[in-house]
Parts: sequence; structure tokens; C-alpha cells
Amino acid sequence: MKIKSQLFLGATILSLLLNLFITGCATVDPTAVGQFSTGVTAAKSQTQLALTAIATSSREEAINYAILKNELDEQVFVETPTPATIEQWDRTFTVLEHYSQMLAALISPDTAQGFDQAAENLAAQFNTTAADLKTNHLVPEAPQLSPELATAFTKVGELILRAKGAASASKIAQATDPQIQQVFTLMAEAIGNSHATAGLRATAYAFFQDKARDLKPDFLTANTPEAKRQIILNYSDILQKRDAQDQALTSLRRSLLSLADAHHALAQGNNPSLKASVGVVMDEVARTRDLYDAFKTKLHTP
Amino acid sequence: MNDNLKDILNTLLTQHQALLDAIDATSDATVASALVLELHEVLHRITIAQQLLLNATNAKLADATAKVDSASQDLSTALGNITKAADVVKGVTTFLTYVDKALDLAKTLGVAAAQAGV
Repeated sequence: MKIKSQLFLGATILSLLLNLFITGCATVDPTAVGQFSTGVTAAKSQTQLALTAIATSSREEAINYAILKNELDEQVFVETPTPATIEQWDRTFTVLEHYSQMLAALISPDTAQGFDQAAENLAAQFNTTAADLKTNHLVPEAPQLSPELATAFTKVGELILRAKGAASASKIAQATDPQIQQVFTLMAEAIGNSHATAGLRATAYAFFQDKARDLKPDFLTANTPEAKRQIILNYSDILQKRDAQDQALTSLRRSLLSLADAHHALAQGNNPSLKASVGVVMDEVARTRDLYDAFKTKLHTP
Repeated sequence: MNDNLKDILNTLLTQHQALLDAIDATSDATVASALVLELHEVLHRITIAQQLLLNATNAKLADATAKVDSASQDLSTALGNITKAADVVKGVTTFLTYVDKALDLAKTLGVAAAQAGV
């Protein structure tokens, strides 16, 4: 009985120490890691939406150029981003999505639940077997595990596994952080930080600028105010599409850079910074979705 | 390579903007039409330069992604180790149930032997 009490006390102290270890050291908030994973998935669809919209504009311009040149030739018919590029970015996001889901799973408290149940079953089975041994006169007294002792050992086991999971996740996130930073930064750079300098933002902007200026000769030769008015309405519509596209790309770039910040914070175990960055991603994703919903018809009609 | 392509793209964008300004400034339809043609020529080259720039980015993305993919394998292994711990405990539980069955069998055989007077 005395030994049982000492064991129970020992297990309880170990459990408390492990609890302190897990909560005391810079462990990552599982909820925030789950949100990071959600953010990656959301940015994936945001990117697909944006790239497909640019490709649509590019294709329209390629058709116009082929008509202008009166040539049906691959050299004349060029578009950007190509389907291969869109697929490559999608594949990149799929890898990031898988990585972030695995990270979230490893940190999740649910991961050790399988062990909890198995340990509880073992304790119950141990007592049954011990009773059987006594009934069959194989042992003089049945050694029984008290419910408290069984619970304490289950808790210790769970904490050890959680600590191991969190440590592995943190170590892997730290090792992978430079590559994750590189991926998100490369994508953000490809989108560009203004509509006037090299990048997808500037290229997409140029498509609409061209389309708007196509109307100028007709405007100058239009003879009636009604005819001029119709051209002005078309012109205004194109400018709205241009601005919607540009805002959506700006938002996507912010999402990508925030995801880079979020992963860095995750690797450093900086929960406040992780939560803040993931919050920005979710806001930007919602903003882009709203923009595309509002201008969906306009963006996909010539 | 990226920097050179960026320089080319930036030069084309500057040229494109100059043509836009010229079209906005003219009130002559013939001049406007000629400028619009030039605008399309420049845009065609912007599209080509942009795609080449993306191709260069894609190569770097593929390299970085391969390393992230490898990290996912490490995460999967770590997750598997946790599951293994539960499996070991489950294994011991299963072993004990076999012990119980063996004891039951021994008990049954013992009773049968006693009844037969062996």
C-alpha cells in the first residue's frame, strides 16, 4: 500500500513537471498552427483565382494581337501565366498544404488521444488478468492498479508524447523555415510590389491599360454624344476591372508575405506574432474573395 | 538572369507608359490608331518577358519545394512514432487478453480432469 502511494505521488509529480515543461518552454499554440494550415489552403485558392484571372486577360490580348498581325502562329499567340505555370504554383501550394497539415497534426493534443485510450484499456486489462491469476491460484494476492495510479501514468505517457511531438514539430519547422521563407518570398516578388514595376501586377495592369486605349481612335471619330457616351461607359468599366484586379493581387501579395512571417514566428515559438500574421492572412483572403465576388462578372467578360 | 529579365521588363513597361501618355494626349484619330498598334507590339513583348521571368521563378520554387516535401516526410515519421507508442500499449493489452484466455482454458481443463478423476 505504501509502495502504491509512493508510486502515485511520483507519477503525479512527474506529470506536474512535464506539464510545467510543456507550458513553460516556447511551445507553439496548436490552434494558431491549425489556422496557419487553413491560411495556406486559403492562399492556395486565392492564388489560383488570381492567376486564372490574369491568364484570361492575357489570352484576350493574345487574340487581339493575332488579329492585328493577321497571323495564326504560336510565336504571335503568347500568354502569361501559362497553364504550366499555374499548375506549378498549385503543386507548390499542395506541398506547403501537406506540410502545414502534418505540422498541425503533430502539435495537436488529439494526437496523443490514441495513447490515452490504449493506456486506459491496458490498466483495465491488467486488473482483469491479475484477478484471473488469483482465481486460478497462480498468485497468492492479485496486484491491482488503483484508478488514480492508472490515470497518473496515462497522463505522464500522454505528456511525454505531446512534448516529443511539439519538440519534433518545432525542430522541423526551424530547419524548414529558410525554404518556406524562400517559397513565399519568390511568389510575392513574382506578383510585384507596384503596378508600375516588373511583376504580374504591372503586366496585368498593362493588359487593361491597352484595352482601354483601344477605344481612343473610335472615341475621336464618334459623331454623336450617344456614341461617345457608350465608349466612355466601356472605358470606365475597363478601368474598374483593372483596379479590381490590381487590388486582388495586392491582397494576394500581402497574404503570401504574412504566411512567410507566420511560419517564421511558428519556427521561433512566437505565438503572438504567429496569431497576428495568421489574422492578416485570413483578412486578406476574405478581402480578395469579396473583391472577386463583386467583380466576378466584370473580370470574366471581355 | 532574373535581374536582366527584370531590367528588360521594366524598360518595356516604361515604354508602354510613354505610349499610353501619347495616346491620351493626342486628339488625332489616325495618330491614336498608329500609337495603339505600337502599344500592342510592346504589350506582346511584355507578355513574353513576364513569362520568362515566371519560368525562372518556377525553377527556384521547384528546388525549395523539394526540401519542404522532405520535411513533410520527417513530420510523418514523427507522427508515426507517437502512434507506435499507442500500438505498443495496445500490443501488451492484447497479450494480456491471450493470457486470460489461456487461464480460462487451463481452468476448464482442470475442471474436466477433476470430473474424470484423473
